[in-house]
Amino acid sequence: MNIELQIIFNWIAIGFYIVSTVFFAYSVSFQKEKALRPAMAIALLGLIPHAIAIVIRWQMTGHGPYMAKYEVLSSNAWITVLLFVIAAWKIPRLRPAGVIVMPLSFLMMAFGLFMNPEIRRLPPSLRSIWLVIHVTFNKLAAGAIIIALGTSVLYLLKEKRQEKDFYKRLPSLDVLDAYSYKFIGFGFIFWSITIAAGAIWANEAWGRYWGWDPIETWSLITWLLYGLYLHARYFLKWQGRKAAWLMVMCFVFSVLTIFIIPFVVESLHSEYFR
Amino acid sequence: MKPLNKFFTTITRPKFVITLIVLTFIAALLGALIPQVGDKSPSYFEEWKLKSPKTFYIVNLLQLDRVYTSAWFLALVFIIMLSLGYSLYSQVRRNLKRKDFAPPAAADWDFIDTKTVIKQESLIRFMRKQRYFLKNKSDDILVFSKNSINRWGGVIFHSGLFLIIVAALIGLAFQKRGFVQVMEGEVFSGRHEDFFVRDLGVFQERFDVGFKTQLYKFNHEYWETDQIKDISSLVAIIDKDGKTKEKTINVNSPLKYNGINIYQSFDYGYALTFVLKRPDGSETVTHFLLDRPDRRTKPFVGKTDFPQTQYIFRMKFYPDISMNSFYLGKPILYLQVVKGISNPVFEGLVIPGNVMNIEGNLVRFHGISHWSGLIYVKGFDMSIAYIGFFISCIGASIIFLLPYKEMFISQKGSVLSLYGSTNRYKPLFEEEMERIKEELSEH
Repeated sequence: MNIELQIIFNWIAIGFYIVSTVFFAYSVSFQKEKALRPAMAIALLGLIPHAIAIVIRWQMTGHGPYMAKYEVLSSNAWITVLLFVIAAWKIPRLRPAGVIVMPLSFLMMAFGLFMNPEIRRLPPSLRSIWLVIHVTFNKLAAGAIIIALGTSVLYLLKEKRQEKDFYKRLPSLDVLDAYSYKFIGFGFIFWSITIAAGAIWANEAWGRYWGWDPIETWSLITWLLYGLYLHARYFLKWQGRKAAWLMVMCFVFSVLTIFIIPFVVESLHSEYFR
Repeated sequence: MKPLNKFFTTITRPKFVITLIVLTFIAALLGALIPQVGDKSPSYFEEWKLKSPKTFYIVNLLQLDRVYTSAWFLALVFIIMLSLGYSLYSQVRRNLKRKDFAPPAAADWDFIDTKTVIKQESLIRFMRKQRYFLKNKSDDILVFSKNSINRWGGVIFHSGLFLIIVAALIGLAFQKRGFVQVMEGEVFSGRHEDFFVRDLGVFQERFDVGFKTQLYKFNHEYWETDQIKDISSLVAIIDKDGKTKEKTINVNSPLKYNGINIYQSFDYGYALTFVLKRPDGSETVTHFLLDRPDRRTKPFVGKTDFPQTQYIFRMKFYPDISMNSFYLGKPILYLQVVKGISNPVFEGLVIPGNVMNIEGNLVRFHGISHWSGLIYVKGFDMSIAYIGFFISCIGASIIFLLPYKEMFISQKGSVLSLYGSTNRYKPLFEEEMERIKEELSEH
C-alpha cells in the first residue's frame, strides 16, 4: 500500500513539474514573461507531493534516499527543484532557466520510477554519519550544476537571438555568464565537500582515504574539470560562449560520474545505484 | 634571475598550472579507462599480452596499467606539490605586502548628485549597512571593502590541497597495509610473510604486526533482499607475552591495537577442508576458500589447485541442500576434479565426511568453516589529510561565496564620485554598484 501511495505521489509531482515545464517553455518560446510566475508556483507546489513521496519511502526503507536508482534520482530531482526555486525567488531574472531545470528534474524522477522502484537495504559499510554528509553535498552539487547548466544554455540561446523581445528581457549575457560562474563555484564547493567526506569515511571503513576506486577516480576527474573551468575563467579570462560550452562539458562529465559509471563498472560505490 | 627562482616562477605561471590540471585530468582518465594491475587478476594481463603484444608492450612501457604508482604520475604529483607550495609562498608574500588600491584614474569614476550634502558619518553608516567596511580615510576619499577575507581564500584553499598531497606522499612512502584471509580457529602470525596481499610504501621493507590474531567466529547476516546486513569477526589478540584480548571487528568500526588498525573486509565465505591420503600413506591437508555469492540461491564457487598434486578442484558449494540459504544447514558440494588441463577424474555430489577415491588417492571432505578477510593498516596519523580536506573546503567557500569588493567614494559638496572593483562576478557587482548609487542619490 505504502509503495503504491509513494508512487502515486511521485506521479503527482511529475505532473506538476510537467505543467510547470509547459509554462516555462511557453514563456520562453512565445516571449510571455507573465507565464513565468505560474510556472514557478506550480514547481513549488510539485515539491510538496514529491517530499511526501520521499518521506514515505524513507519510512519504508528505514534509511535516507540514497540507495537504488529510484531513490537517488528522485531525491536529486527534489534538491534541484528546491535549489532552483530558492535561487529564482531571490533572483527573479533566473526564472527562465526553469525551461532547462524542470524537464531535467522530472525526467530524472520518471527514469528512476521506470528503472528500479524496488527497496534496497543499507549494507553495513553505508551505516555511517559520513554517508549523510557525503550524499547530501553530492545532491547539492548536482542541483547547483543543473542550475549552472540552465544559465549557460540560456546564455547560448540568448547569444543567437538577442534581437527578440523576450531575450531582451532576460538578464544580459554578461550577467547570465556571471551566474553560471557563480553556480559552478557552488557546485565546486559542494563537490569538494562530497569528496572530502567520502575520503574521511573511506579511511574509517577501509583504512585508506583514497583507493582509486572507479567512481572515486571519475569523481576526481569531474572535480578537476571544474577546477579547470574556474582556473580558465580566472587566469585565461575565458567567458561567454567558450565558458558556456566548457560548462556543458562539465555537466556531461558529472552525469557520467554520478549516473553512468556505476552502471558500467564494478565499484565500491555501485551499491547506491543498483 | 637565478635558475631556482626561474624554475619556481615557471611552475607557478597560470598556463603551467592549467597544464598541470589538464595532465592530472588525463592521468586520471587513463587510470579509469585502462585496466589497472590492482583491479584485475594476473591472468587478465597474461591474456592481454598474448592477444595484443604490441599494445601491451606500450601500455607496460608507459606504466599505463599502474598509473597511480607510475614514476611519471608520482613526478607529476611532486611537481604539483612544488607548484602549490611556491604559489602559496608567493600568495602569502603578495597579500602581506599588498597595499590598498591606488585611487583610479579620473575617467573611471562615476558621479552622482545627491542634491544635499551627505555627512561623512552617515555615508559610512550607509555603507556598513551594505556590509562595506571603511578601510582607509583620507581628506577627500573614503575606501570601503567587503569580504576582505577573500584575499586569503586562494591561500587557504591551496594550503588545504597542499596538505592533502603531502599526506598522500607520506602514505605512499611509509604506508604499511596487508590483507589476510583467516579461517575460524586459525591463528594469523602477524608476520610479513604470512599476509596474502601486502601494500607497502616505497621506504618500507616489512610489515610485521607484532602480535597474533586468532579468529574465533565469523558472523554474517543478510536482509531479505540478500544484501549484507552485517558482518563481523570475533577475534583474540595474542600479544608477545601470550596474553589474549577478545575483540569484535565490524565494518566501519575497526579494532585499534598497538598502533595497528584492523578492518573488516567485505571478502569472506566458506572454507572447505580436504585431506588427501596417498597410497604410500602420506597426507596433505588443504583448505579451499570460496567466495560468497550475491544471491542465496547461487552457490559459493571456487577453482583451485590441490597443493602437491596435479589436481584442480572445481567447486560449487551450497551451505544448505535447499539451495536457498547463506547459512550452514545440510551442506552439499558439487565437485569436479580435473587432472592437468582437461582430464576429468572425478565428478559428483559430496557432503562432509565423504571419502572419494581419485586414482588410488583417498580424498576426504573433512570439514567446513567460515573465513574472514581482515585488513591490517599501520596507521600513520591521517590528521594532516583531514585538516587538508577541511581547510580546502573552507578556502573554496571563501573564494566563491565571498568575492572581494572595494569601493572608493569621494565627496565634493553634493556630488559623490564612486569607483568600485571586484575580483569575481563583475557584472553582478556592477548591478550592486548601480543599486548603491541609486540609494545614495535618494539619500
